[in-house]
Amino acid sequence: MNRHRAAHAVVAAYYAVSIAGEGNSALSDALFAGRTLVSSPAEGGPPHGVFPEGVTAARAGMAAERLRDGIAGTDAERLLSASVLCLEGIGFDASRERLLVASSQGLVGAAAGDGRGIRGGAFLLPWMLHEALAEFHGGGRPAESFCNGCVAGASALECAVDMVRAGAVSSVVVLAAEGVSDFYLRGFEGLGALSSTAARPFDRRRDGLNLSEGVYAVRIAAAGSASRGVPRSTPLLSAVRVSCDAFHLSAPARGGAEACRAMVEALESASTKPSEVDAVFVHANGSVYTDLMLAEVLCKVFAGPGGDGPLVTSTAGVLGHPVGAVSVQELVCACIAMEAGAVFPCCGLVEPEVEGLRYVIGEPVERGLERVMVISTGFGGLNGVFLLECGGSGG
Amino acid sequence: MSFFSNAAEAEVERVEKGCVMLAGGILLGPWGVERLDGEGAGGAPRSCGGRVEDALLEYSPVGPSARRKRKKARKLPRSVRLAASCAVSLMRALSPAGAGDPGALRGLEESVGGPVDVVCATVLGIQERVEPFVPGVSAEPEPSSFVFSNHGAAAAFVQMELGLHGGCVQSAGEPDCGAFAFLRALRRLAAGRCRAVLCMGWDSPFREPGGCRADSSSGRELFAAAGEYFGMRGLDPSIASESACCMLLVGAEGVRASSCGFGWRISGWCDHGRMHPFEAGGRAAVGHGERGAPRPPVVHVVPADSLSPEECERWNAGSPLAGFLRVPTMRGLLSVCFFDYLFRALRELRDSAPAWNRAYVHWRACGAASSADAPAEAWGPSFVFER
Repeated sequence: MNRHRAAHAVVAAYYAVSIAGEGNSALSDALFAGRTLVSSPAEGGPPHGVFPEGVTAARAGMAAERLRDGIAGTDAERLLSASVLCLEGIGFDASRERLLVASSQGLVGAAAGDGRGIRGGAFLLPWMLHEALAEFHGGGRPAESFCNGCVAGASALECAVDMVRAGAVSSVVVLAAEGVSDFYLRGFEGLGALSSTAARPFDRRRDGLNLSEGVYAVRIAAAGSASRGVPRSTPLLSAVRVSCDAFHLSAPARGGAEACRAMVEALESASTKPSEVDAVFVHANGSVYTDLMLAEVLCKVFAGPGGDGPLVTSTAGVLGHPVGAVSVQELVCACIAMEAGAVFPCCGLVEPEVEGLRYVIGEPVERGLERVMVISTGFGGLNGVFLLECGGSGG
Repeated sequence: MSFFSNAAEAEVERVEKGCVMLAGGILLGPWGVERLDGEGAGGAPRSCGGRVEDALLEYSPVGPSARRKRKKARKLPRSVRLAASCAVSLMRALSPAGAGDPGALRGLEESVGGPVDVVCATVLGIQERVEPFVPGVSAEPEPSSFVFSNHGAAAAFVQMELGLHGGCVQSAGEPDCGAFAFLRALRRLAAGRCRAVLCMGWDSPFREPGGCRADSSSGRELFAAAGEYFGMRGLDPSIASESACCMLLVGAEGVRASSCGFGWRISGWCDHGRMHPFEAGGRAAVGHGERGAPRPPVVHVVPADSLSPEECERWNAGSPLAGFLRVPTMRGLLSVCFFDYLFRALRELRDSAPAWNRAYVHWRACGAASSADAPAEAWGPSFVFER
């Protein structure tokens, strides 16, 4: 049922503007150093991660004139600056490429909290980007938005893969962007979801997540397009699956049946056995219930005799949880690990609650990564799963 | 130059397997409720503006613990109740068991033989719960308010109520997000990701009573600001609709949900590049799937606010078209305006004479419809329907 082999799309390029700074090198250095980048603000409040100042100032003022007055000096302008920087980093060509923008609530806080009422608001990020790009790059088609919570990026990637596989376009850039705002912080705090310390994914003592900022861009292109500049080593995106628990608006289904189904279907559709997966990059973010569900589902899917399942890690301990950008953050970090031939440690994890998985604790583990799985979950019980394979350009 | 010359087939998203427009469709707005498979023109005369009647937002939860949830349902945000009410009404319309068997209302996935996805569109839906939160003035957001401020919450709620385990794709923040959402539904079906897709648009630009700062921007002001920013004609706050919702059910080829009588095939679509729906887009859609000349009779469905009768006549001259069908639009419905247009077009096509074999349904981007001197290359998708 529902078998679908998404075997002809590759991650042709990726670029990160994260709380580690601008560029893939900054992100890679931070991941392999294994130290958290979230911190507690001087004025108090829950620890969270924000862009370095240079990132948010680099392209400030790029919004179109009619919008500029509304967002100048706000979080919206900061996020727009980081987003434009990221698109420039990946070499986005507005005249030839399609742009899909993933963000959860993005600019709500900026809009609601700037004391001037709502001037634009959450709904404007794709259009702001379009306007900004039009100013500097000469237009292109308006961006499309994906706004379904923490799996917004997964939905956008899924759409990009389908567009490429259908032959509708040769490449699509997915931009996942999220900022941290007062609204966000207080909203998650109200849910009791924030940790008072740096997040501890999978750890027995975990008590919540850290919100953070991040903008990540990936170019999804048709496999076999080496002649168009896609390197032969580029990862093949061999399967993408999204499923819904249909259980609760914010909590995961405890049994994880739908997350399990998404993983199994992804493996089946790529004709991959669980034992062939070298590493799993799962966005366990330190949440009490979500991490437990994910660990138990991973045990079901991957645990086998001998306990030699895939290496398991998460980016949340270092980079925090950038909500709508999470799926793409994990994907980009998985690509970095594949390129490095090593899996970075799951920062914050000391004593796993669920045994039986090969967590990467403390130090990176060097290992050639032929196939990896990327997993994220989100509000509404949505689960996003990707499978990456080495050497996608051969198609 | 012939209307059909230079068919830009390369611009068409080719699909090996088409999709099927199922009869399931509900449109709920300030004017009342309409069913796609209803008799006659149906419904009261439509006009943008005003609020949906409270009675239409009363719905009976159908999922687990329905009785317990009935009381809670009244406390949900209006926009979420609107979506849920619309979804339950649609399931009732589709269910052979009718309203008497709530359990049967959750059987859609079994009925179509696989996962059902939800695509959802909203431009401003989120705002009704965000606006009351102004740091330093309002109280902190309550957990439920915060969750519902998420754009995807209404769709997730519908999935939860109806037990739909497919993916959910939420499009938000664009005046044309309804059209984007419908395109995504077709792509997902063509890619074999699911067996059917529930397409849903909802918008509620008016805040709920209470809890707002007196001097904060109201929904109407927000509406006007959005209209000004997007350059959209028809977003005059005086005609803003408080809420509207539309749901359409589209299936993979071969899917027939019980009691669905439409069964029209959607064999192609065209969504990329900047295109005038009656030039590049129109030709591309016409070119799709054709081997030689188009098979008449063909009817072109166009937004009435985008093409005058005189322009239709000019385009029609010398073509094998059965004619143009000009369908009114209500751009003020925001994310629902595309669905409303499609809904009307489908009903009119159903009742139209003479018979047509193929219909090219065009949409013109909201931004492009904002002024008489809109750029000719403005974006707008086209869809090919076949009987």
